[in-house]
Amino acid sequence: MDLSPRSMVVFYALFIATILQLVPAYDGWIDWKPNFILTVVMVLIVNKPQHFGVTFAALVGLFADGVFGTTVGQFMLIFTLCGGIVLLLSRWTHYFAFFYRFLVIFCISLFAAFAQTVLVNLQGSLIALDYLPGMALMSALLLPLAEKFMGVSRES
Amino acid sequence: MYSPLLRRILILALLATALMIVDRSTSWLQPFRMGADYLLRPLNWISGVPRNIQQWSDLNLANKDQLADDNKRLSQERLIYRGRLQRMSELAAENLRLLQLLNASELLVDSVLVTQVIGVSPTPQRHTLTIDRGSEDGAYVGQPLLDSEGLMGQLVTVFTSHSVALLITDSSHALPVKVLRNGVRSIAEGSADFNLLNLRFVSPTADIKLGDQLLSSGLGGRFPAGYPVGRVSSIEQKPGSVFMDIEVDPSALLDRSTHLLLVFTSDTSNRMRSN
Repeated sequence: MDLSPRSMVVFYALFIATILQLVPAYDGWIDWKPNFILTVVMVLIVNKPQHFGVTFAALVGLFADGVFGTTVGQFMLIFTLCGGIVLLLSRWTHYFAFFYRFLVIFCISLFAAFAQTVLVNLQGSLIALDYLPGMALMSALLLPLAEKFMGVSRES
Repeated sequence: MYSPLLRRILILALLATALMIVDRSTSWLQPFRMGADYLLRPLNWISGVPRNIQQWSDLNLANKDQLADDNKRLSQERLIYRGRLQRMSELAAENLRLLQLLNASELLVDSVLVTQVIGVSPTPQRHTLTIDRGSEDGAYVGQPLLDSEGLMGQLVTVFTSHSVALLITDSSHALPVKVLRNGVRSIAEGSADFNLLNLRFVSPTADIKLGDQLLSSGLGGRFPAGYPVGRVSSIEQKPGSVFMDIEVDPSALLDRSTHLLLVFTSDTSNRMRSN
């Protein structure tokens, strides 16, 4: 089976994101640890909405459930909603300059972390919300690196 | 124009919700979880490489003077602990005699198995660890886990060669404790913060003071009695509240310890023998 170069880049990007996600963070740094897998998916959908759809987001979300060890379907739901929002706005986001794409990734990461906290709290735990902005900011700061790595950057 | 996309989002969202409900209420998706865990083991190993390199360099690149200093310090510590152990042995024997007189059946001797952390939860919402001992080493669901300072948590999933442990600071975890000074009982709940436990439903008249040492009480039969859990770091009585807000600083180094102990209580031994 021959995989196209684009598929291989996506595979490598998700592989590296998974490794980074699993690297332990100590002493409060875990509150600043971005959701690498979600960031990769959102960067792909923001830049290439014609190639990466909501089904792709849902499947990667299911994979993320395995990585995070969360209830099966939790990240699938979050990735589906985030991917869906970006796709619904893709007529505009596709033409956004870097700063606005940065804002989109920040807002989507913030929404994802909030939705995840709500879902965890609905399952009987009590999680504070104070780590959300830091985590979302770190996710958004990954944008240039992720775009460069996956070759989807539109800045020359 | 959005209708096919919206329909697809809706279908996938409903599918995800259905999966969550099924996973929460049945064990049908356990094979998915097991499969994901086995697939992710090599990735877990790779993600642990930076920490392993640091440990290796700490061990092998230390200079001779530092090793000599460590050796001297450890020898002194060993001497001190051996001295304390002699006293402990005497106290344990005396305690056993008293318990026999009272016909009590308190657990006194627990055996332990050394284990190493091979992975931690990648998300701040869940406080879990993966350790390198599984069912082939005798590990079982609910088994207590300690570090050198105190109680860490319990095993929640056991695989053949590794296990996942839920830490006492996880927000879904609760643990029966007692105050060392006077035996007042309470429940220590996780707060999703590695440095904080909360005592729930403590009456304002309860005799708990700042700095009190908390131990596992053994109630519920899950954790053996007498292991350090934490120290009371804050007590607050909000006006109009029926209970006090008490915060506890955990004894165990929950986000730092890499070498841990799995505790086999005599209850376990009896159960294994009877099986």
